[in-house]
Amino acid sequence: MNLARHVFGTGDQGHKDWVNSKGLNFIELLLIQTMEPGNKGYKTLADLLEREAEQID
Amino acid sequence: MAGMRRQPMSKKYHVINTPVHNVDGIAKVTGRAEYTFDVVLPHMLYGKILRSPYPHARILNIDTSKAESLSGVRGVVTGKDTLGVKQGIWRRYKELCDEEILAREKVRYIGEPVAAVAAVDEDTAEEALDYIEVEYESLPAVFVPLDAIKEGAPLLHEQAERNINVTRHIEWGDVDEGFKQSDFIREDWFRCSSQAHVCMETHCAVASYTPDGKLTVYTSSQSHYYIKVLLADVLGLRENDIRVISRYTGGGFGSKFELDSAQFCSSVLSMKFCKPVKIVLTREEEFMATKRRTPMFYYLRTGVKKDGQFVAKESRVFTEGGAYTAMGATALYLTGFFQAFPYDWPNYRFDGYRVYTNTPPTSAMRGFGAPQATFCAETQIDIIAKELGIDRIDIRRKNGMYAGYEVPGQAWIQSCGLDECLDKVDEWIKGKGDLPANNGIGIAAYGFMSGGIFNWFDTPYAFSSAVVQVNIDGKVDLFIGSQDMGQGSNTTLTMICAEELGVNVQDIRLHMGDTDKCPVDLGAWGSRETLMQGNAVKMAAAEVKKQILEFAAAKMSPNIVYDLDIKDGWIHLIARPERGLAFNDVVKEAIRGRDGQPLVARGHYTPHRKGMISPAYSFGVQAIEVDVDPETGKITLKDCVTAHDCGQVINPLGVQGQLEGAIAMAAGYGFTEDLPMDEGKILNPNLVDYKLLRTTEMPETTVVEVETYEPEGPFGAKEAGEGLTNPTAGALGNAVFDAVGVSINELPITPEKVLEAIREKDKPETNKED
Repeated sequence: MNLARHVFGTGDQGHKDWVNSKGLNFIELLLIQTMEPGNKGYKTLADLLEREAEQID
Repeated sequence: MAGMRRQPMSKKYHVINTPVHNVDGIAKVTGRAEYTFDVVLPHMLYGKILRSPYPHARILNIDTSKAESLSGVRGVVTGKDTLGVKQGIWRRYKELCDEEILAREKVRYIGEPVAAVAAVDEDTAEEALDYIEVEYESLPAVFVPLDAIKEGAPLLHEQAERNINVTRHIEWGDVDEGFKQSDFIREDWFRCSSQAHVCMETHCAVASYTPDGKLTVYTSSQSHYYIKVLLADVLGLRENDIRVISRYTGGGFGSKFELDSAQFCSSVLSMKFCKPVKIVLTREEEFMATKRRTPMFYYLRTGVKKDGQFVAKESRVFTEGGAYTAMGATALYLTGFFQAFPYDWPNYRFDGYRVYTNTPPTSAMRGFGAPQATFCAETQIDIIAKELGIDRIDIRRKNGMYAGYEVPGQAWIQSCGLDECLDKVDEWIKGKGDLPANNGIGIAAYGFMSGGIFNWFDTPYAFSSAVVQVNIDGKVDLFIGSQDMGQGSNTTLTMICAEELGVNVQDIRLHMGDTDKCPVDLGAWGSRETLMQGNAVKMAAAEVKKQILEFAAAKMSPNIVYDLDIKDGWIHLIARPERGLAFNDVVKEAIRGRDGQPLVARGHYTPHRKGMISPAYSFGVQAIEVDVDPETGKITLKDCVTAHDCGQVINPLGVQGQLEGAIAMAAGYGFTEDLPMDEGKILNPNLVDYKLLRTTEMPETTVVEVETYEPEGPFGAKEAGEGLTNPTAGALGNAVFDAVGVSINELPITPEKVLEAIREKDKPETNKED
């Protein structure tokens, strides 16, 4: 989750492009975070980051 | 040298916490104060600005030939006469520097400057505007954030996908788990409106560029340092080839520390024609084409235990950014931070979005996002208290912040008088007894920062600096970089210097408002001057005092130099105050002994490791009594009390003045002021249709000073400026709730809204809308 917060927090093009290249949409995740209950946007990104980390390991 | 004089021992301070009239008051009331409007320079020209009539359009061509041939017109400049630098106050982040001021290719709001004329007089300049021919290609526009973020909405800035300008996320604890543990959950939506600053002095500048490459700009400003640096960025000059002079400023409230069209256009004109150029914005331009308070669309979900213990809060907000970033990014962050103030929330989450829209840019305004946050939070707390059957003072006391509290990952609270403030207000309310029908009292608690920690301006300088010089006759020169815009900081800082140095206020000559002569200070915003500039002044005064005492010690032979002090111009042994020397005599001999050099010292202050937001926070509680006419919905303010913890009060007269001004501004925000728009055009850009609170509508106001000691502040002081603006809209709304049982979630709280809510409440259950 902290890493997800960092990725959203920087919001620079590099991070956006990485998220978008993994089949998600950076902006849509941000909007889900605001428009829907729960921590959905951040949780979705956090899950992705965990999966990607496992692959690297 | 004269020897002995009795001194009173008992008073803690000689100057601090005594009522002192403004040191610049006589100059102001006698008309001697020279404002920018008063500046007249030899061979000066007068400038006027042509502004876009479209909310969103491409500029295809600008033909200035007819205007330039008009008799009396010296010339015209457009964006093509500039370097095309996009500037902004968030200089650390280039993507947030998005405003050219004189548009070159595209306009993004009605009122955006597209050309500027310089002529022999104002009337000629005004006439010339009609002769400038601008060919526009109108583009689709978008005015509301929730429309602007939709797929396919018109894009204002290429780099901002879905028009999202800035996002902010603040989180601690586990909000979702917190909601599971809550006995009661409430969710509400709110709409907070915009507001105009309405400074008495409109934006204005006189720029004078000379052939040696130096630019002098007289201007109405909250930070001459910021204006100097921003002008250097956009004009391609060295910072110190620019001098900004701003000795008197007739109001700021957050509207005057960014580069504005008067400063920029007058500078560009002056550089082109090598003549001084004066531009003064009209009141209509002030409304239509300067920045304003940020409208916000708020969602709050709050979970509490049945005994009123706060458990979790989730807050989401979309802010209407307008066409450019300005200080709106800071307002977004601060609204999220102060949404949690002044309470202990174990679990909290905030997601905020600032969205570009084709409306005039929104930016800083007194309170900086906190009035909006406080309105929403305090309105909801009263509803929750009522639904749970808990006293509204008790629920706040149960959950209030306290000295030693840490806002997780954000801030440390070193001093907090919130409990005492609640006590004072509770006592006031109880003293009122039973109220007449349709009368009610509402309360709101708040906190605010004493200056900001973040260096978004990317300055290498200390945040505040000061120089103190003591002269041979004992007169003291105090040089500061901060700006008094009517809040009384000149007086506060003079008092701090006098107290530290042990002299009287009238012994001090203040120098400010000139970047060539004064040290750097970041300016009057975020309620920073008492704490930050005050600390710099105190340090400088302490250093020069040490020089004087070292000399006095040599003459008086105390045990150690710290056995000496200075009060009321008397240097004395602390244990034997009747034994001492006159300040002026010691200074004279000290200067002779130093080869005739005056006694000089510097001071500075930059907060280090004080959290994410501010080194210190004020706290308070406000209560407002209203009468509501159930036939018309009209609200009358009857009485008001504010218990405010600003640490050690420096000038009680100043605090009273700040409070009265804050109530007028904040009550206006609560129920009379608004900036309605149609397709991006402000519909009430004048003082007849824009409803400011009048003196006849002001309630009786009482300020109760709750003294604490703030270790970070000079003599324990902290802010008494913006914080006072935060609670009023919430207290007003809660007063209406108390009076007639309706809670209004949209600002301003107009009679129409109150009446509609009363009618809806009084409808039989079966007839109510779902």
